[in-house]
Amino acid sequence: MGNASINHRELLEDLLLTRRFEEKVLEVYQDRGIRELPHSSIGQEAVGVGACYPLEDDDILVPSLRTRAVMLLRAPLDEIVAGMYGTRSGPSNGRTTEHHMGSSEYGILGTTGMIGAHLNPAAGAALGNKVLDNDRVTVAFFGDGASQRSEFHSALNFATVQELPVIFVIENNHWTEASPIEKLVAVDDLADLANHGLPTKVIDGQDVEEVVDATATAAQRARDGDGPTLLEAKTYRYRPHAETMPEHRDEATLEEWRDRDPIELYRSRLLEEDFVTEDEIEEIDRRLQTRIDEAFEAAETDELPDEETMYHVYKDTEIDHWKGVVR
Amino acid sequence: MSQQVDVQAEQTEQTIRESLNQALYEELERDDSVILYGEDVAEYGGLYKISEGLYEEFGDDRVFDTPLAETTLGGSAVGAALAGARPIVEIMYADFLPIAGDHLINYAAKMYFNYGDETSVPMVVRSMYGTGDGHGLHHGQSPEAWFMNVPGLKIVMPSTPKDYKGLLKSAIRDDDPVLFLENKMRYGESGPVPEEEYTIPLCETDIKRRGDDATVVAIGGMVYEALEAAERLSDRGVECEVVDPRTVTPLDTDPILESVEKTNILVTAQEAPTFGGFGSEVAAQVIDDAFFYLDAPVKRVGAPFTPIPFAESLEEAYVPTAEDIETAVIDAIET
Amino acid sequence: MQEIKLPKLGQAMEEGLVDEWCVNEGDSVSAGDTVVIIESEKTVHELPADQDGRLLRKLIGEGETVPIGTTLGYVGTADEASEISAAPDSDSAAKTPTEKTQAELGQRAELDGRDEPIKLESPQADESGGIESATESPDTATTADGSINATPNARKAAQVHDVDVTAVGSALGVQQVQSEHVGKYVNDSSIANGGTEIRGSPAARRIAADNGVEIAAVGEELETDRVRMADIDRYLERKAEDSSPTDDRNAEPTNESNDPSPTVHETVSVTGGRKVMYDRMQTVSRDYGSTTTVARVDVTQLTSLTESLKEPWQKYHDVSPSITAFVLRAVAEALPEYRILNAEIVEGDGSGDDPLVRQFEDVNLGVAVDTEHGLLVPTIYGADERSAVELGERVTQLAEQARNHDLEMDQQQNATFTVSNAGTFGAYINTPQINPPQTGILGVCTVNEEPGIVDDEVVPRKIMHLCLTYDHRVVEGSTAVQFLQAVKHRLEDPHSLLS
Repeated sequence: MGNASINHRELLEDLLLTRRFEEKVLEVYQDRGIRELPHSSIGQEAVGVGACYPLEDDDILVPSLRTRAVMLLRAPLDEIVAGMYGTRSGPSNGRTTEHHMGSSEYGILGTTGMIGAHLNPAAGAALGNKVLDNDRVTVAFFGDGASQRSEFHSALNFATVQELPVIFVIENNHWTEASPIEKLVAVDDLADLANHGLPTKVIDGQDVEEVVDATATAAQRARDGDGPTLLEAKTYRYRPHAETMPEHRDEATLEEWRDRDPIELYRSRLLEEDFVTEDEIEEIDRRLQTRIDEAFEAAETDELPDEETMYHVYKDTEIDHWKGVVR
Repeated sequence: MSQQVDVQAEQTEQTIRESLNQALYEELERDDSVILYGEDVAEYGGLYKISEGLYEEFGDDRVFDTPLAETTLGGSAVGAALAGARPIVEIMYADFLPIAGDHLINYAAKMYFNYGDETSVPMVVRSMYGTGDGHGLHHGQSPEAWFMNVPGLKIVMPSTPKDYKGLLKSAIRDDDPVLFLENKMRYGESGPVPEEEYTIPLCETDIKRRGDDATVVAIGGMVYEALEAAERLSDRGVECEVVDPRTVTPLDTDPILESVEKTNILVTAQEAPTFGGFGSEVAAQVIDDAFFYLDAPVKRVGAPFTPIPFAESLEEAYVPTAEDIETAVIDAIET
Repeated sequence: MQEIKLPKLGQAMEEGLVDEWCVNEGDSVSAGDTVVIIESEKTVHELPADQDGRLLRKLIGEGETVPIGTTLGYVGTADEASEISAAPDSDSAAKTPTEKTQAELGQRAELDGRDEPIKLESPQADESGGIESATESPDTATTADGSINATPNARKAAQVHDVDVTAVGSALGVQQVQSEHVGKYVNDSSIANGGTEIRGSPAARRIAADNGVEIAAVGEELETDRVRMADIDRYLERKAEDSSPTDDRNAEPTNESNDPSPTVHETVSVTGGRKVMYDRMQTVSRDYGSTTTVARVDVTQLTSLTESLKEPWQKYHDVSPSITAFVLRAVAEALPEYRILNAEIVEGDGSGDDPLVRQFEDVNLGVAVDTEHGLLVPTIYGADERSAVELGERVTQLAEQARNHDLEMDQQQNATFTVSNAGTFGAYINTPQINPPQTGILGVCTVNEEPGIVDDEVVPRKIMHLCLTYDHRVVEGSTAVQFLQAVKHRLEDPHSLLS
């Protein structure tokens, strides 16, 4: 164990929350559909959960659309689910999708539908925090796909040269949409793409404790004013890129990764070392399941937003939104 | 936010360059969350020397040079603004804005809409446009129309030194993302600037010259051309009202409509190609809201639908001038 | 849409003259309004609109003579204007038989409602050896029928500028449109806009509506087809002046005594039928050798006769016997002996051809009738074959029709000689003017009680003067006098006229 002190029961609960939530999403989506197309994080929950664990509540998280753990650990469950349904209790009352929600209150930086577009804004958030002279760390999550983009390099370069308090976490699940990473990148470790003068570390994304540990170290470095760190967490997703896409990946490889399921790995270890009992886990699971079911029920009966909700474009200027001119 | 300018206030003659530098200085001094960065803006003082002396005054925490990466400029400004800072980035030429376009269009413009808690993106992107210096295809385009169609962005294109200063200060204090476009051909223009601290509110159309016979709505550098055309036309007995919206989006149309209701003739002037441009939008707004006051076809002055040519003769033919505005007004009157 | 064609107005008629367009292109007309006044060999006729709309196009200018059947213009709605833009052009396009041409011809045929698209409106073209035939080479010069041709280059230029060669031709008054004409037309918007609908700017329309003014009226008054705000003001000022009961002098009485010029009561345009009269009398006074000879006729017997015939004529014919009926009868009987007076003059064309006098077999008498619309001259066909009572009936009938503005076209055409009765107004001696191209006219004057000599005794007699005006260029004085005497003798022996 590294320098992070871990409340194992809490960390396990974070993992179970993410897993049960993603299972529920799949179940509901297959049963009756959800407006927001699920991009399931099942199989790679330990990266988001582990990276969030050692952070302070006011640190800024910049998730990819698959880093569901960030949303679940920062935002109210009801709001997240409503955000998937586009109802009025969702983030920004239905104006936007849960995937890209932003909230200063929850410390989640809003993102866009452009893969990797959030990396420079993450560096910028770190710059802002540096200028404002607070102690906040920014953590950006992104997949192997984003690491192939120029934003990856320009953001890392800028953050490094400006010594910004930011952590870049690659969730390398080995598949960029429907293409295997080895076809798209010529290095074994994506961390090797970054030769920008910042520390990089390749970690086991299935081992939540290793993720916690590495993130804690990087966060400390950032807070110390020593600049950014790049972590590459190796992981795997059990589902296709999006639920509309058919599965065409090798079943054997998938099984290999399933054998190292991050929740099961951590659960077994905790049971083995008597940190928790089966009954306690069942009890946690039951409680989580109830919360999740209630959140979905609430969203399914929530109302759709009024038209007025979308007339929210400029903060400082009132306009006629149909004419596009000053009112 | 705005402080009304006292017309009696002492004024000094300043160039646009000086007034911009002063605006940046005053805002950096006033608010610690304001930062200024971009290519060569710090030690070099900016390619057009707009930020000269600011690095020396405020240090490299507040004024600093950045890598040659517009994605970083645009993207980091969004992030910094979302985190609570007030970044001003300089993108050397407006022609390079498309590189930062994703961050301007998909990020900066949409985060206030995307957030549910009134978080907005108080950033300013300063960028230079202006044709006539032989810079050719990629260093002088007038980009307002590229971004006009993006809800959430504000586009400011001032004309006079006083407006430049007052509007830049307002842009920096504004909570929405502002694209602040500076005409690089006009940095040397001078005019009276109040000595006292002042701001000029965004989204307020200004009347630069009064006249009853024709309304010329000109934007940015074309305001000078419109004023020159108005003087020439005045010699012929035609009095033009020169209307300067100053903010392209969101556009303050009321003064434009009022002017057209008085003069019944509308001519628009812009440096960008006429088609699909600012003038077209002004024309459409007027046709929509003041159709029955129009007494002549609307004439739009702008560049042809070609890239900015390099050769001197071609560039001369390309750039819209006072003469073009004069002709357009006469055309409208004599139609 | 109404296609106004030159009608065949008489058996001998082959061509007609466009005398006057009564409305301008773009002007609105109502059904029944006279659109164009045409002149055939013997008469003037007004061609009316058969529908409400506008005069969309004039194809033939004033003063041009064209064959019967020629399209003079179109009346229709503004929407239909586009239909005709292609139509006349098809004539010229027909010279290059391309697919497009055929399409245009087809369109034209549809427009005409006929199956045969070719040479529809140029009967003269047939006579002139098929100049207008569809297969003729494209370099044919000016057409004989007044329609407009265009060179291939002109058509190409017209296509480039999206204008109609016919419009170019009519605007510039050329029949053979060259490419430079197209250029001129395109560059001079005032020409190009000459035939377009009057349009108001949005602001002008608003202000016009506020003032209850029609944009079209403003355009017509100010002779512009684009009405701007300032035009409304000018129009209103002009109307205010017009409707003002006082003119400048009355407004400033001090000037009244100083200004010797007469105060204008009313200024009236000489238009329509009056313009026809104006032009024709000008022609006559300028060109004709008009000479008048007068006969003093004793109509004592004739008046007794008409008095005695009153009851039977009214009873059996529903007509009162009139001096006019007997004069007509006398004239009709005498004319065949003096055919130079039952004739028309065909002027030389200036190229050295001699003028001709066409002497007619038929005796068709024009009878001048004064109506509130002006002087009309209905025709009594075959007057020499009609009895006095028939002539009386006919005159009564035609006069009523004339007064009711109800004369058919042919009822105003083809007269070979004219009788004008100014006597009803009390004229003692009235010298009439010839109705060109006729050669003579007989003026009937009032009947007065005068002392006459019968059997060497002075007794009261009823005396009437007959004034014969003849064109002394072609009619000998003696012939005229003899003819007049022949009429006189017949009238003084009225029973001979009852045969």
